[in-house]
Amino acid sequence: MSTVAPPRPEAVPEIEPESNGLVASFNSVDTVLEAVRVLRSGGIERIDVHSPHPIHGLDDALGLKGSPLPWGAIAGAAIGLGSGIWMAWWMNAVDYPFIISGKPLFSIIPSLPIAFELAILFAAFAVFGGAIAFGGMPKLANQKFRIPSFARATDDRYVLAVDSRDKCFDLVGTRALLDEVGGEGVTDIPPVATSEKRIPRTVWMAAAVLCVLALVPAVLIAKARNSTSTKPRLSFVSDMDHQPKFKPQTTNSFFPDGRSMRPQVEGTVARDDLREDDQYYLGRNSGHGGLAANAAEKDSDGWVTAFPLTVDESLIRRGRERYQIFCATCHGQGGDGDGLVTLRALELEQGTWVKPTSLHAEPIRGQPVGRLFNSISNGVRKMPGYASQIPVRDRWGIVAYVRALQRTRAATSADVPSEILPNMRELN
Amino acid sequence: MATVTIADIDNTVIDPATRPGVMTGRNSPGSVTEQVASLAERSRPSTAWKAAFAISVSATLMFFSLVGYLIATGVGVWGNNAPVFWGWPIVNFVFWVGIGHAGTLISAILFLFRQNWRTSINRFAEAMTIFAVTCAGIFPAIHIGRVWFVYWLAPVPNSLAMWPNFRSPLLWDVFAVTAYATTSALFWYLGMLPDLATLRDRATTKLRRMAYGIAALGWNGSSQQWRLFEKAYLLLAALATPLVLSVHTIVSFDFATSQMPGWHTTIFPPYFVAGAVFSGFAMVITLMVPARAFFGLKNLVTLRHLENMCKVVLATGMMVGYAYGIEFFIAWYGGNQYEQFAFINRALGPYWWAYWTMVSCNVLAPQLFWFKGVRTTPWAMVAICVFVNVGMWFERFVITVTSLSRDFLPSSWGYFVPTPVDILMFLGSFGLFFTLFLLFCRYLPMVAMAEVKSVMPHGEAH
Repeated sequence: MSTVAPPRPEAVPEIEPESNGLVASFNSVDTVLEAVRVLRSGGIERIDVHSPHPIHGLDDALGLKGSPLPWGAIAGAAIGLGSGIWMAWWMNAVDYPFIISGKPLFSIIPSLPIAFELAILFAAFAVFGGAIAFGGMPKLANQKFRIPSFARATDDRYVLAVDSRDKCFDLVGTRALLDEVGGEGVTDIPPVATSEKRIPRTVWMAAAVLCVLALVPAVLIAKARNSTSTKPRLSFVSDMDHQPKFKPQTTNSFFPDGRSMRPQVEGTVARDDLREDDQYYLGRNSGHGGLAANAAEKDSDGWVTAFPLTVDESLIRRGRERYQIFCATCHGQGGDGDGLVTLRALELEQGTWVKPTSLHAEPIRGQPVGRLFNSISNGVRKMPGYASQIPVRDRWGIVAYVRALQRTRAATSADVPSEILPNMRELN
Repeated sequence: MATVTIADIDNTVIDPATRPGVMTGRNSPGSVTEQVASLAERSRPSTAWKAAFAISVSATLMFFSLVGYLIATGVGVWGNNAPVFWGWPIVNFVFWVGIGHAGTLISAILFLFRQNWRTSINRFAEAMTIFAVTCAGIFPAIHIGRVWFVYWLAPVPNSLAMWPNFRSPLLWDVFAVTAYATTSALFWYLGMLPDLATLRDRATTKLRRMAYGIAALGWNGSSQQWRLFEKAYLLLAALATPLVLSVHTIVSFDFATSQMPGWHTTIFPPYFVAGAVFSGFAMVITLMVPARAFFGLKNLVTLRHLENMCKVVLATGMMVGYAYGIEFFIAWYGGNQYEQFAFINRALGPYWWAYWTMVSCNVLAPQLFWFKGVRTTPWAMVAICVFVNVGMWFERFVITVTSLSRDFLPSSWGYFVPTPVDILMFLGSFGLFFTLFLLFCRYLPMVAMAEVKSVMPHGEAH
């Protein structure tokens, strides 16, 4: 490398405005390698050789060393491996746990195939991107492409280029040197004309318009995701959205009555629909009206006064649980009509809320169990019926629990069995 | 000076004193450029090219029309039905993926082993890889039924808060084939940059100069670019080598990780990889022999290249034959009666014809390559390689269909019958493959010019 004379001081030039450097063609690998050696021994460092194929030994002659690409490959592989394992763990074990045959949600071995593929893929991206970027690509405009003889650098010639920014570059002297080492067709690299440096206005305008247009779909999607719509969603493939079947409350020309819902066939009973025991299912004795009866009726209308099922502790406990789920929100845990919904409604003072009657009020205390059951089933005043939400047995459980609640307000210690009395506070 | 040795004319002759040349005749960098680039520069394609293109484009149109019909109607247009839910589409997928493997093997593995002769054929083989993987990728994508949900295969955040199952070999397959197609395309494109620049610099019309100019990304052959190119090429070869082995391994996991007798075997990964290389090389020969004659590339793609590829076909063919034998041995030695039934059923059951087609095409036919006369006769090797391709399609058919049609529940046993849509789609996929291939031959450098120049003796002024 540096076995040679110091750079000639008089050759340090102002940059020649009419030239970016010089190129010369050679017709064999040996001649161009020799030329590189001669130029470098003359102190010229900024040399490039453009060749149709890689030349072995040229890197040493030009003093090129090292490459970042292997590090890029390692980094890409590490990112790929890590992201593969991370996805398998986070997506299948954390964010959306996949339970498959009782196997662990995450283990390393089944994550490896995808992690391996991603490692290769990302490393390949890094290597390819690195080779392109460090090779100065993409760069479609190059002053050297303007030299006609340069076209053969991708064919069968070896073109040596000296950059005018080299500290030892001197247009006349270097040209002579290139001629001397056997370079053919020594030519100036033309400088870039100032008018060509700018990208035309129209290109900028077109790019700006394209950028704005490119945002339109994104904006529309963002708007759609952040607003509500009353229209049904667009369905491009609707094979499962619209199925050829009849739904409740629709018409059907097939039947004479035009209804798609069919009435029960006379003389049949649907499964689980045989409810012959009025005392149990309606809370009243037989012969006192049917389903149409409601809570406005009198106490004397045949209400059942004794539970039509066995009342035991498990029924009362069940009733307490159901009461706390379905009833306590309005009626309050203690049945005083002070549930959270009631309190909130009264606080809002909208005038539409009817405060539930306290279950401890005398008229309620006096109602027979059948009437309480009917109130739960069919509702009272503003209170809706709960027959569809609460099964029959659970409704009787609630009635039993309400009876127990009522009892607590009027009970004395004499009502408590004497063996429990000392420890009563610890009971639940 | 001009001493003509025997190796200049026939480089299949082994002369221990000299290393046979990669090319025959007298070539120089300039002559290689002229010969290869002029193929991509003809202003009018030949009549034969036009005829071939017309046929393959028609087949491609038929293929995509059938895909449209399938999507509009449903997968019932195929013969897939209980118990054979993986019919021809999966057979075709494995067939096409396998074809692709030879390209990567030639471009990457032979590169790592410093096999210089690969330079004449690697571009060609890599193109074949990419087009084969394109054909392969379509089949599983349309096989999922509701094609418009194909993005569910990718880990895309969605409003269902649902992710793909990372323990499923089918998902591994998605990643493997995607990574393979992408890496192969990068490898192919990087290797083609210098040649695209050659076409740019030789362009005579503005359109060609701009098109090849953009594609070449401004390649100027500087020493820095070549240095990065060589390093990147080496690294990509080193990455593509384990990749290509992993891809068919993972394809085999689609079968091997299931419980199905005849599929649940540990021999599948190496067996599939060998089969893939086998079928891929056969396809390269099938395409290369007519192409080198048609495009006048006999001095670059020499008989020695073809002979070497025949040797690979012979070697991998015997690996495949060994695997067929070992499968039977393990079925007996393993003592599992279901496994034993599966294999006896393959050879002697209702699909005996497919099994014996497979064996005769894959094991017996390549044995002719023991004879040097066969290895150096182009028409003979094409004939054998067509047999190999047929045999390898049947291998996938045998694996997929014989096992599925005799599953664990005898009451649902059945016999698979393809529909016309099955058959026409498979033929149509060849149309797509050849369309892409003919376009490649017409517009891109078929031989890696820069690589060929780098392995020829240097310093010869022409």
